[in-house]
Amino acid sequence: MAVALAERREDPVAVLVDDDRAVREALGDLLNSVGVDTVSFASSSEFLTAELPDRPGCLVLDVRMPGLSGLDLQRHLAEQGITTPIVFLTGHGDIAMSVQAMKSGAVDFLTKPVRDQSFLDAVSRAIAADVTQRDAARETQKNVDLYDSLTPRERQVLRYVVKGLLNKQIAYELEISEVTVKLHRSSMMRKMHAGSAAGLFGAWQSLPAEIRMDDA
Amino acid sequence: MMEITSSLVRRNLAIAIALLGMVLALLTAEPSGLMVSVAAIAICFGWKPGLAATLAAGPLGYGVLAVRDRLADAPMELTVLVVAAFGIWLLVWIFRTASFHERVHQSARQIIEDLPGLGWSADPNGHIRFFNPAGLERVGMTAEEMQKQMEEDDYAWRHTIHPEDAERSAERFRHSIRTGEPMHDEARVRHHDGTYRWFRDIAVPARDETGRITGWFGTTVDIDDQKRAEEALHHRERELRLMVDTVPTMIFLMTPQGLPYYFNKRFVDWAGIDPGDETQGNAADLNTHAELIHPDDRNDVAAAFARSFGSGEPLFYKGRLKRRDGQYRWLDSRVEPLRDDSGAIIRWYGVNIDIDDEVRAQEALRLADERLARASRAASLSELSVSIAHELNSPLQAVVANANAFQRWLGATPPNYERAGRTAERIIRDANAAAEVITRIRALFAQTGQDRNPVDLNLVITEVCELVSDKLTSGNVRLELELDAALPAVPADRVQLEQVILNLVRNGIEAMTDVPASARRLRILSRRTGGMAEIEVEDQGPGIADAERIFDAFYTTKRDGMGMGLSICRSIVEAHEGRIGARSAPGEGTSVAFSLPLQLANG
Repeated sequence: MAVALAERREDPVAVLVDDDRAVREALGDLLNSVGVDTVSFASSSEFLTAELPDRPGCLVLDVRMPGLSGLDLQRHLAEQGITTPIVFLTGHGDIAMSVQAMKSGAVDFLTKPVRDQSFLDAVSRAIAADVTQRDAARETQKNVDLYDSLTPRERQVLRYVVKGLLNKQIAYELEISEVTVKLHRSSMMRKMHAGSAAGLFGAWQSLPAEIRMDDA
Repeated sequence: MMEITSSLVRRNLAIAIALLGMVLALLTAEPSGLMVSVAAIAICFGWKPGLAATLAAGPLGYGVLAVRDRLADAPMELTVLVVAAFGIWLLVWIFRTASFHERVHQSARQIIEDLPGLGWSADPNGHIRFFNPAGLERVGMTAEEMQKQMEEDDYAWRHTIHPEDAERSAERFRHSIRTGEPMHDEARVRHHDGTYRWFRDIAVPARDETGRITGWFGTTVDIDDQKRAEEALHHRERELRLMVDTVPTMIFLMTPQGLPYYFNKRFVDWAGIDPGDETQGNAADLNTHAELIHPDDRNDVAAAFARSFGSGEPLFYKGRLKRRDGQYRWLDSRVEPLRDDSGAIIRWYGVNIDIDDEVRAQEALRLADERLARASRAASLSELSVSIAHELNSPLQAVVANANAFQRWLGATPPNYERAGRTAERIIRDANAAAEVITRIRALFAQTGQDRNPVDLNLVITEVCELVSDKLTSGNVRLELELDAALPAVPADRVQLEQVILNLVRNGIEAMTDVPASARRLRILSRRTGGMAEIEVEDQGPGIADAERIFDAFYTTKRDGMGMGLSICRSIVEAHEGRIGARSAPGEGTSVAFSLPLQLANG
């Protein structure tokens, strides 16, 4: 099945983690019936050791499970920097638990037995969020790659440009001629695939903070 | 003139003079000679023989006149004789009394003057005659000044007495003069420098041989130091008594034999008993006090006392004693003996401390513990419900999700019959799993109902009501209990019945959440119908259309209900060979009744 999934790289996939087989199967079936692929695990540890397809999707976690609970798993993933949206399911709704889950970034916190529409809505919202998130991440990665291709001098010019300095001012700051600044600038714009200053600024904004703060 | 001191000589001389007077009268035929006889008798024999002589003078005079044949002069002569004789008698009587008193005082004067303290004397009528020099010095007057003052006012002496004591002293003196009783008085007497000191005044009457009071003689002794010491002692005693009476504990004393004879004020006020006569105990008191002890403690206390009185060991015990308001309260008692130098017990000291509030607090704590235990037993059902919910939730969730998926597979274009079929199989599988859970739970209740003991259903009802009293109060529900006091106990598993009733009561309360507070009334009845004990719980809630279904598993009218409670109730009641049923109609409230056999058919 993994092979088949790998073929459809941009189709969403929902990952179900629930210790109850009947629930796993039923919810998986329900999602399949609306065209969402699913992968199911019986426990958190099984999920953590599995190789997951790189596709947009979401996690559907049961709160109460033997071993690592759904909330524990959420915390663990956050520590790993994994930001896949999560929909929680619980047998007995607990306000304190749901508040904590939502604060930690859960998309939804649903009580079993859950109405089909609420569940499907929550899952599609989570997938949509993941798609957006993945697009943004991909854009960032592209820009980071472009930035990495710049020479140190081009990076310096880039920083001054996004700060709004004119060529003349940049030349003064870098103690080089204005003509040289213009050369570096056009080379930098080309490498960053930026047709305008606004486009350059957008690309700059998408760069991770550590790059933008780095004054080197 | 020579002194005639012998009364016998005096008497003989008087008789001689009297006879001489009579002879003289006969010889001279002049009755006036009889007056000499009257005077002699009156002076020497006292006023009664004198008066007799006076009266006898008349007939005697008549005799004299008759002998001498002078009866013509009789009326005149005899009148003069009798009047004169009476006059003589009267004079003799007056002067004889005065001179007697004078003599008495004169003879006593020397003794009074020599008294180390203050001395005085008075007439039988209380007229002060004399103060000794020490007395005069004390008040700072000369004998003349005193004499003058006394003549103006018989009671002038009271001006030397402290104003607070003067009237009492005067009254005591008057009393003694009136009755002849000796006078004892203590009063502050003024020194001439204006200071007062306490004196004790003792006066006794002097009497003659006939018992007649001839005068009063008083001695006045300075008792100021003694008085002050006494007062200090009294003060200390009062302080001690005050302390004994005010310490927040009950103190009592008993004789070596164990008879109570003293109770401090706290004890007296607390128990409403007599203070005791403070000198000795008596057995009647002991019996009265024994009756104050709680009947359940009486034998223990009596045994403990008997043990201590036998061995002389201190006694410690806790028991209930009846307070004056009739309430029995717990006391902590300690009794210890006081021994003399030889080790013999002189008395027993006892202390009682009212520890009832502490005991009750502990009792309340224990009851709270018990209630907690019962509450947790009650909670076990709700906890059970949670685990039931958890167990049922998964198959139910699966059934719901599968059913939805089934619908979508069939609704797809083109319909996916293959997936729909697989999903339908899962629906059947999961629904059966849910049914299995219920079967297991009901089997659980049927099995555990083995522990059958006689259970007082009324008691269970009241305990359950106590358990949910918070809910009743917060829900503004008025509780009406109509319990048949004669309801016999039923053989049952008490915990299970408690859960059935608790469930019915809770349902009733929850059913009335949406009705106006004034209409929230929960009625619980118990009664005997034939060989069954019947319990009915009736609420004023909105009612249910299909009352027969409420005992089915998963049937619920509550938003967050599982629909398990009544189903379990039915299992329990049926396991007890009983029946459960409900009457209800929309808008008329719901009544759930169950009945249990008083005797088990197969148990």
